[in-house]
Amino acid sequence: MAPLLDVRRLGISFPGAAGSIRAVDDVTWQLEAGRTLGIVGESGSGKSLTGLALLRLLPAAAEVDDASRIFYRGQDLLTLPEDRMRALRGGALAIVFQEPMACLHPLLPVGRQVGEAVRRHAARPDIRVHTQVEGLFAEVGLPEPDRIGRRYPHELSGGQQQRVMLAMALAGNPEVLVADEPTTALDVTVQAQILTLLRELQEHRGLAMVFISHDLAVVSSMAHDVLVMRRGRMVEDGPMQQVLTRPRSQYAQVLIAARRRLHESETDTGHGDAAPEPILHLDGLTVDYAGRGLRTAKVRAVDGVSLTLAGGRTMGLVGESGSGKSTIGKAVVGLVRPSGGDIRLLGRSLAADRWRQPRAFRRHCQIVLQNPYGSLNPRLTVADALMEPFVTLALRPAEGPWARMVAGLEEVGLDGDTLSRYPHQLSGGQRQRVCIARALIPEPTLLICDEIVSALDVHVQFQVLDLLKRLQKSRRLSLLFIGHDLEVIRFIADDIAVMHQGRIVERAGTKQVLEEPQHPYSRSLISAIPRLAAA
Amino acid sequence: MATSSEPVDDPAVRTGDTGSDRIRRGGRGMDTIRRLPATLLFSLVVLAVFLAAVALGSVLIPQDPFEQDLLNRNVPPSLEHLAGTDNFGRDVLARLLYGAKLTLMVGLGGVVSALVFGAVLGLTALAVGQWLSVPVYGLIDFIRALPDVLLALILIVALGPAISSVMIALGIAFAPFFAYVARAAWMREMAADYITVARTFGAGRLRILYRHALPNIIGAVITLVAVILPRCIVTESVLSFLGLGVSPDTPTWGRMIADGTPLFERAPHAVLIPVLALSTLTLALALLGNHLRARVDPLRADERRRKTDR
Repeated sequence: MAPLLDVRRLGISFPGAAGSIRAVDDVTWQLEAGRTLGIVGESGSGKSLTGLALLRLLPAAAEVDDASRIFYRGQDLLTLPEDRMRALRGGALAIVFQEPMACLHPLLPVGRQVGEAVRRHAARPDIRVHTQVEGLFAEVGLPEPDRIGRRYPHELSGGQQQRVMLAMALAGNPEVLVADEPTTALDVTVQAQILTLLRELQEHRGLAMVFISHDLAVVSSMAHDVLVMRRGRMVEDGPMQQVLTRPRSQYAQVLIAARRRLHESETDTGHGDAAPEPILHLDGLTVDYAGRGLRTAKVRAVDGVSLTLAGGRTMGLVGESGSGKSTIGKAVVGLVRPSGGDIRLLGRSLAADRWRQPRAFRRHCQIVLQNPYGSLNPRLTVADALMEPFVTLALRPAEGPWARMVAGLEEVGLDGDTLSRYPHQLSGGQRQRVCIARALIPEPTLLICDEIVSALDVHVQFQVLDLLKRLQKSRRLSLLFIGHDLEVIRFIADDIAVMHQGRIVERAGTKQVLEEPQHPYSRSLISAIPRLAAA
Repeated sequence: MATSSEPVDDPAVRTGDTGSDRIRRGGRGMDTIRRLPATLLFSLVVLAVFLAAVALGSVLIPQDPFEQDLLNRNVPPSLEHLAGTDNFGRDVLARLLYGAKLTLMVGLGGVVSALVFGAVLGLTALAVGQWLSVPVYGLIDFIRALPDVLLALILIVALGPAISSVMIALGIAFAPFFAYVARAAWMREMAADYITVARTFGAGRLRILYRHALPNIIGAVITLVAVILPRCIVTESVLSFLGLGVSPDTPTWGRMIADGTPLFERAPHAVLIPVLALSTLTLALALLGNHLRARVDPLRADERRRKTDR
């Protein structure tokens, strides 16, 4: 029997004045009905383009090779006339994207948007669109399916939005569902719910699914077979279990090992010091964000948080988006003005100074932000960027700023040549290293890391975390590590504080929190972590 | 497609392209000229001709731009009068060359003062804080609400007729364009993470402005100069036409166009030649502005270099 989908020698390039860029090269795979193929790769590996090619939704500049074939039930999708392709698209072949908010029309109620998809693919014109939409909403597990259709996208949570997108994809009774990073934009617990839903849908409807993700752990929980891509090429393919246990390619080995090493890191509690001095102490810290307009209520982002961080230790601050964890970091470095409580940094009360940190004091606490693409000025060279702390904090190192900058770059594993580069000439990992070097130039006692690896590819994540761990040891830094990825936190943190809706609900040693969570919220958070299927 | 994995697949990184390379590549002489893009070459040639005309105008052309010859009115271009004569029998080419200097002075003066009143004042106010930026932008909104020619008229009457008051009036009338572009760019910059980081290093407001934000704002402002300069030249002609620009006898390009328009059917050359001169100059300035912007922008400079390398 012929497979449902048969992709042969798929090649996609982007021709340009400066030569053609090869985005996908010689990719071949098959998919049977009712099976899931996982496609794993880092950004730029061509995994999304492969998914888009199935629906002929590639960007206009892309060119598919003449020799490429995509057979669906024996017909070549690449040569199909556009009107017949349109009938298949959203019908037998459906796709769900990463950002549900960006995919839903903001000014139409979601029921009408799904209704449009139902009407478009209805076999007969006299169907009752309303009942169909209700049925789909019930199937994807939305609450009050009879009434939720009247709501607008912004009135729904991220998880609900993604469920609406799924309902829309199911409207045409698809045989193949392409899911392109469907849970990447969602919080961990919501991600777990959506993944469960996808598995159920596949079982009930017998869907064939192409599941695209950068996260090997997520894919391993979804897919029967897996395809690992790198720089447009397939580096590995086979049954999921086999790839996890006996990866043939070096790249797959690195990917799997990076995940495992995060998992297996020793979390030694106690550095031998009897009672290390507290570096940072939060005492009933409260932060409000003013609402827009005079009468709008304030939003309480952080609600009476008390926390102590001892010298040379790493505290992992965990929580979902909106839990207030980043706001704490910003309050400590003085970017946000708290409305109550106190922050004691190196024994000095910031509330007593009316939250104004004296310039000389600022060097003790530095922050590294999430997005390495945004936190370096595109029009300043690395040297200019690293020079800033010397100027604004009036630092006068004995060996001169230049030597100090070179030493700082070498410390984070970059060479001195990097100084003359602009940020766009560096990779994401290199940029984040520059950001770390910049934060370390004033020789801070406390370094706040706000989701610093979540924008990086998996194997780069590990390198940066490893670097951070070494720096902490050599410099006796205290780290406040803010993150949502519990695997990353497990690797780096000595203690964990779990935040939920502006409060700390649980605080204990890493091992204890992850293995015996006490609070119900921490328990649901930890059970939602995607894990590699095989041990 | 951009790869963000290490090591990077970026030619500039791979070849270890550094500042010193760039200087070496710069070269000198004919070689450099041949490598210039055609558009830049065009704008440089036009500007060179224009500047030569400003400097040598009266030397090259024997005719007196003021001398009236009522027997030879509205004569089409001939050997004696290369660009023909106007309604008073004055030589169009002589007036064009003579007027180039004033046109350039008024245009540049207007743009520079608009840049100072709009962008410099606006950005400084934004950097200093709300207590200053709110009233400053309130005033700018008020200026924008008035028709620019009317506003310029009032200002010239108030300041007294002189070239300097025309420049100031044009500057104030066109300041809102610069102020709005500067504010939009400033808002975008303030949301960037690198500004946040600069704040954690204790950088002051004005330092954030000139060190971190300005390099990203300057490109938009330079482009706007190229757009506003010709508008200043044209507005000056309207003011001259109303008798409030530079003295009515003195030829400027705008004034020549304004004077010639009613007689377009009888003497089209008297309008078309200054119009052609004005639009060629405008185009040259716009292209030059574009190139300048690419030059101050390391992102685009790199792109361009990569293209010429292959």
